[in-house]
Amino acid sequence: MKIFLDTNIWLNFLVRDTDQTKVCNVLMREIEKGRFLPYTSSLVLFEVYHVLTSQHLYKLTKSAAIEKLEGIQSIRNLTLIELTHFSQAIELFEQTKINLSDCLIVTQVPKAVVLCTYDKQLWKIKGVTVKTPQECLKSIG
Amino acid sequence: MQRTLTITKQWQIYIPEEIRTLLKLQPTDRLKALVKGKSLTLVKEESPIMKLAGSVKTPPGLKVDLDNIRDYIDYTGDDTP
Repeated sequence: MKIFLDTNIWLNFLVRDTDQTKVCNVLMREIEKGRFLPYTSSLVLFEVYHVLTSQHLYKLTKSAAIEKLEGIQSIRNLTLIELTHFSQAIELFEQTKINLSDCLIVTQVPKAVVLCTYDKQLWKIKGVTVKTPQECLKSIG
Repeated sequence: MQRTLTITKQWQIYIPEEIRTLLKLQPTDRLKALVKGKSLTLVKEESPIMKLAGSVKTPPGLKVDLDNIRDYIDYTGDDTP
């Protein structure tokens, strides 16, 4: 199963003791076992960096945040998507009430790849299969 | 615990079930091989990604909904190093 990991999945995995930490740990372990093929994007990693280093949020130093990003890139079989589809994202942005950054990320998800996220806004988008980590884990049994 | 393991013609070794259970080994787990003199020690190694699990502490007083984190990102601001 191919899954695109959204910003909130990486953050729930990295941050200690959130409600979702345990299930995100299980998901990462299953990825390391080769039971999922993970995808993510440079935009997602930019957001992870921003949240970790923001002085209003986690206040990590630049070097500490880079260490986390390097660790993320070491996950088994990761495909990092660099390409954005701005025109498609703008079109989606016009048609929906979803914010532009969400639209940019959604349009990066390749066909036949499940968008793994906790962001309920993204569940409303047609043409993209969206699942929570719990649902992804359930589907592999 | 001490067990004798045999090397196959393909240079593979079989890890007995009792050792697998004791060390909670799973298929695709990584083991680091340490050689010293004539001894070979295999040490269970956590993957680099799993070492990061829960590695970020929440600063005191910070309440943030990570599931909807984009609501907190100010793309126009510059509050990062």
